[in-house]
Parts: sequence; C-alpha cells; structure tokens
Amino acid sequence: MIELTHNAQKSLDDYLRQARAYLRGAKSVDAAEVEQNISEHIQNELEGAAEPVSADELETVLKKLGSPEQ
Amino acid sequence: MENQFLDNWATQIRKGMLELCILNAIKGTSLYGYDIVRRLRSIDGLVISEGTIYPILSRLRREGFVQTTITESSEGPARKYYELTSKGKQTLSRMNDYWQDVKTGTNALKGE
Repeated sequence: MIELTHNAQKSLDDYLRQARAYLRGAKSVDAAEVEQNISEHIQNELEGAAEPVSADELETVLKKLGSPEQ
Repeated sequence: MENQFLDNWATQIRKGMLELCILNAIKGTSLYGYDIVRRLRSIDGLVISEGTIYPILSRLRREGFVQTTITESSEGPARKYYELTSKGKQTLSRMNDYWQDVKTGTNALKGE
C-alpha cells in the first residue's frame, strides 16, 4: 500500500466514503467490486510517486477519476 | 449557449460510446480493470471521468457480457481480469455492425 500524508489519507477516505454512499443506491452494479477497482486504480496511479504522497498529488488522481457521484 | 449545447451533445455521445469501447478494448484478450482505463484514455474526448468506467464494467459483468478471473500477480496483490463471455462476443459483434451502419449513414449525410 502506498503511504499517504495524513491529509491525503483523509481526502482518500472521504472520497471512498462518498463513492460508497452513491454506489449503495445503484442496483445494477456491485458496489464492492467498483470500490475495489477504484482503490486499485488510485494505487496504480500513485505507483512510483514519492512517499508519503501529498494531498495535492492525490487530488490530481481524484480529479481524473471524477466526482464520486459520477 | 452554443457551448452548452455542444457539451450536452458530447456528453450523450460519450455515454453511448463507452460501453462499445470498453467491450472492444477487452475483445480477444483478458484485461485488468486499470489497463482498460489506460487503453480508453488514448481516445480523445471519450473519457472525461475515468471513474465512470468501473460501474459500467460491473454492470456489464452482472448482465453477463463480461466475466472475471482472479490471477495472482508477481507485482503485488491478486488482480481481477475481465474478458468477454459468449454473450458478450455476440452482442459486441452486433453493436459493431450497428455502429458501422450509423457511421456510414452519417458520413453519407456529410457528403463524404
């Protein structure tokens, strides 16, 4: 697991929590599968970044992912 | 106003194309979810929010168009790979034919 700064970890936790909340209402998808894919995506995007990864660096990845409700 | 019209139109186009592109990206191979996103990134204007691909993948799997296998990875945790089912291959073939017809007709209207 990639190490994040405290603020970055908080941002990530918030993002995943919001994504989880939106996914709960989506009957056509497997929420756990989507969340797992998103988590792995973030890990893959941050691979090679200097650790601990900052909130700004994480934000770049989250921006490309799009807001959780999308 | 004109930009809003164009943005709305482009959004609708992307929504329709993503499923076709995801299925075509997987066709003939077995792909890790993240690698599907990387493939689709190369198509200009297709993927605005990369996260939208994962719910579509999940839905395609639930509807029986793709299936997954878990494969151990030497680079880290086990990975889930996506591949087309028979139903997925048949449906994709029809989708590609349909898209070809639409392209041909549209190009004819344009005068090409």
